Amino acid sequence: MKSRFAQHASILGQYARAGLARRAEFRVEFINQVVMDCVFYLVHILTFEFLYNSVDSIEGWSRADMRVFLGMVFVSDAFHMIWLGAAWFFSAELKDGRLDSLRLRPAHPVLVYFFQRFSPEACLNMLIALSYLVWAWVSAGHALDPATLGLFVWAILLTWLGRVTLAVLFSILEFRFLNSDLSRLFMLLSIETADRPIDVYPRRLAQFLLWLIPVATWSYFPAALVLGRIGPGFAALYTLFFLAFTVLVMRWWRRSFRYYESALS
Amino acid sequence: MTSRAEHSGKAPVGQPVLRCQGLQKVFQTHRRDPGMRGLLRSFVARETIEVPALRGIDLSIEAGEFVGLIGANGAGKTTLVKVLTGIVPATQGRSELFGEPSFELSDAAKSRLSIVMGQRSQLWWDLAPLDSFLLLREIYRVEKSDFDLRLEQLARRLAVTEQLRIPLRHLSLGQRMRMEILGAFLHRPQLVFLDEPTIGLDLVSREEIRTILSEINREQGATIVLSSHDMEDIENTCRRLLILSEGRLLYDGDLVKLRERLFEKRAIELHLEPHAAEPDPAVLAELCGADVQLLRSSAGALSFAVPAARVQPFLAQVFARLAVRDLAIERTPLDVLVRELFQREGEG
Amino acid sequence: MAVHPQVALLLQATLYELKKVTAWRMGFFVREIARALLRPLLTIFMFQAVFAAQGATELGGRDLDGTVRYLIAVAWIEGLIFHDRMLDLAEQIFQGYVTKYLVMPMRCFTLALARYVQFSITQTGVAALLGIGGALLLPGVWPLPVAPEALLAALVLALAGSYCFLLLYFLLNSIAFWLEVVWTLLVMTRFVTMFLAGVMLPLSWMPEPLARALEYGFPYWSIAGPAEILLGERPVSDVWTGLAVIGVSITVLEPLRRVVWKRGLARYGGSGM
Repeated sequence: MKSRFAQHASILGQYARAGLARRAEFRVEFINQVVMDCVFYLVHILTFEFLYNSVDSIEGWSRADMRVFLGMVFVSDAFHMIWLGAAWFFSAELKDGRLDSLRLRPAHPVLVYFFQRFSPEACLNMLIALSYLVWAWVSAGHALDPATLGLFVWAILLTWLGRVTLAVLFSILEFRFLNSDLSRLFMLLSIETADRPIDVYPRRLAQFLLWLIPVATWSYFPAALVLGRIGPGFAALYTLFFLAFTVLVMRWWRRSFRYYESALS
Repeated sequence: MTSRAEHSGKAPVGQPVLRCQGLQKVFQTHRRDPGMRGLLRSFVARETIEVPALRGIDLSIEAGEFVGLIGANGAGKTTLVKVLTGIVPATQGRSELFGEPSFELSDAAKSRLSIVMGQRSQLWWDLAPLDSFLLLREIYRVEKSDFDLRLEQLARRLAVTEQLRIPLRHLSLGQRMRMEILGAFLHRPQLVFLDEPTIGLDLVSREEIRTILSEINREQGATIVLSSHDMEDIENTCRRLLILSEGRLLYDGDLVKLRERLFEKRAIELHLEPHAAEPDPAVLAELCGADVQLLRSSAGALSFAVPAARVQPFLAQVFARLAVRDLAIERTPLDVLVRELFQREGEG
Repeated sequence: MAVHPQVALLLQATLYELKKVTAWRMGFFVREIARALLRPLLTIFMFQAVFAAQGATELGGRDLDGTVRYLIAVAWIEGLIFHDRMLDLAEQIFQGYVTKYLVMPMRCFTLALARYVQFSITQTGVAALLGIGGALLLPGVWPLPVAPEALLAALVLALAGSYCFLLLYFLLNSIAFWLEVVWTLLVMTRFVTMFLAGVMLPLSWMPEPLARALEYGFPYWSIAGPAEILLGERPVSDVWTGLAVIGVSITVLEPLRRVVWKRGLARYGGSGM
């Protein structure tokens, strides 16, 4: 009998296999998505490059810092594209009562549901995002030693966990407000919010994004961590806080199925 | 840790695998008056109404049973299945599967359970069924050797070996349903709920699926709860019958005993001569009398439910009054019995 | 006089769409109002930070107040633009649901058109309420139209531009005859067109040649152009230039939409039947 960890790893493996099988059948989609995501990156880069043509720094973020920040945004986004595509469909599937089988599977429902739409093309995007991040780092004159690499691993893992946790957190709203699209709204707003360092927002909003709906984990915190804009003590404390936050969100999500009505017939 | 017995597909016979008491489920919905005014009114201040789907169900099912669940549309069949399996919580009452509360089933209990929904696929629409089965293997932690053997056996029995690698969306309705059943039995569940598994299928496919379900129940001792509109599904497979009406359990007992409880009848179908005049309503009324029922009347064909002991005099009467071209006599179909049961309930 | 069947169908379908959109109140509020209010707020914060960092009074041809007014105007008008989420045609094609419409004596596009009409009616109402509310609650900040003609010109341009977006999204949805999913395509198209329309960054912040080139596209004349007319940054007479650009875009998009739909139908398998 496989351990629970091995079971879940195997499920992810099967999702990845199924994602590849899909792409094998719909090949054009692969190229299409890669190209479109590159356009997404380009639009972001251009927006900030144009802005920095008029200013030297935005709330202490220089052009070079902002490039590293954007690299984190892209890495975070690529992770979402690879694994969390199902999050966009949660509202509709909940409304239509299509989550019945999810209730019956002997595995963690968050993993079974949210990770089911593996996107292989987004792996290429992840590669592009990582390359941009490394380029932004090196071109700013920073070193790429083992300690820095360790920081990067820490930062990137946190951004991925942040994506999962918030996708799950937002979907909880749909249980109470059926077909409200609140999860999509919060997701889109979070994506837009995370596109800029939280320093540009008013203090209270920045605190809100750090502690209450921690969108800061997607891009701000990881970028600030590797750039040394936050101290190691705060970084460790914040990571612990976010882990506890994740556990609470997962429990809350499972409890929310009390409001699931399935389809009436 | 799950025991070896749990994965053998058999639960100890005679032990209840499912138990519920005073089960109630109420759905909330909104009512809207027609027209633009109703639309605006509903948008500002809507009227919430409660729809009771289950009104106090008491039930116990033992390991190895093959139970049929029938009822009219809206009787609460699907809701009952969903509450029993823990898909949705009960509004009131208690429901247990394998001794655990249905809504809070552990993964070990879920591993012993399976469900097939005739109107809703649980397999990936855009991929070959085999891809979905490989995922199920990981979710249910089925050993590879066991999985391969089981897949080969079930696919052969369901005659879908050739279709395993074809995307689901390219398969026919019958093939898709066979795949759903295959997926449901891959992990040797001890309790399987089948909700309308033969809906939309042709006669041959329906018969084959019934046979397979009966075999699995007999050979593996899997407990099966079959909810269906098709009386033949129930008649040809189940030993125990549950009849739901308006969220209440109208009948829970032996299918054979139900026949005995309600007097035995025969269904007689008459085909009249093509050019003969329409039967006089007075004649039909006379033929029916106190214990004969006119079931259907259409152009050139009549169908009656007649007590077994009255068949001979009834036919003599028929031949004397009507121009009969052909006739067929059958055992009482279950739907006639059920209709009669509903009628009695209504009168009672 | 008998109404043309397609027009009668359009009216019925529009009413049906109105019923659908108002059936879920929270969804309506979120989709139609909350997003329109919250998104520009984030961009405004960004520009506040940019102005504060530079200590400048004027950047990109506007002072901070002017930039804020521009961003609100753009967001206000963007609310009128047909959204990619309004069409679920791609899903219907992939799942095979579209089959039922193919055997009916009607054009599928009429149903999409009904959504456009419903969307335009609803969003014009929402925009009017927002406009009145904004003008009353935020008199110093809210972008008041310089003249009634400017408001009318902006509305006409936005609704005509919105029709271009309908054609574009219908076309992209039709690609589902070939591809499995087109949602990425739709999301990204929305993203790029919003950039080209000056929603993410005012055109005046972009390099001059790029900004000039973008003024020949319908996205600009659907959102940023009307906003500039509304604020008096452009003369009202520029509405004709905008309508000409949008007219050319419709002339290109409409036959393209028909060809893609027709070719797609030729390879439709009707999966799920």
